[in-house]
Amino acid sequence: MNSTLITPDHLKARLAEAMPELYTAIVTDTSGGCGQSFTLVVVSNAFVGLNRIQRSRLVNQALSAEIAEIHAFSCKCFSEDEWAKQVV
Amino acid sequence: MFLRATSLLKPTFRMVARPASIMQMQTRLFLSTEVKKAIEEAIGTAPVVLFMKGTPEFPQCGFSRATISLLGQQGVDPAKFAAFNVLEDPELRNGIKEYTEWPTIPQLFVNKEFVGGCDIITNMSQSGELAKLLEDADVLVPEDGTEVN
Repeated sequence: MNSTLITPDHLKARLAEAMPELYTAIVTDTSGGCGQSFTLVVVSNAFVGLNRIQRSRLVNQALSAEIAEIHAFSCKCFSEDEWAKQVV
Repeated sequence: MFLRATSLLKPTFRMVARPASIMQMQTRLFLSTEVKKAIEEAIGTAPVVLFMKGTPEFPQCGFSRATISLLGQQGVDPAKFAAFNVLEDPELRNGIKEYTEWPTIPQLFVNKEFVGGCDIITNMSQSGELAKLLEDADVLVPEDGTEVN
């Protein structure tokens, strides 16, 4: 039984290990600290040339174990150029 | 409002679970032929098919609700739309994720092709790509419903 709480730091660490060419990742726990629902922004040049589904699949693969444990997961994938153009 | 398709007929069998490599530590379910066939049939029931939590009238999840809302805004023709409530059927709920190798619900198909989940659909809606996709697929309600000469 897996009772380890999944945290934003854990997800960021997993992404750093498993996501190729990761530039940055912003992870928000939208379940109020319950580790059940996360919104992500992932920036990596590994996304260049990939369509939306392909980009999401890369992240899904990197975080497959964690995603299987949580209730809700949302992710926006940007290349470094696209990220630079986002108005923050 | 949207057409509401009936839920998947339950196939009578048991799914086999087998652990993947130790490194992955993830259980992989292999889709049985019956479930796969039932899903393929579901995907073919209409030009636009959405697997969601809840129904178009009463979505049971924020992402499903947002997706239904977007499709409504785009003007999808209810006669060309079918929705399946995965909460009614655990085999469908698990099966569709195995089928598309996509871990979340909702899942949108247009002309039997997987388009994506809520994030992707929202993004496509903002960029105009969703409108184009739906227009090209000819699934929108004609404007005004009357012929323009």
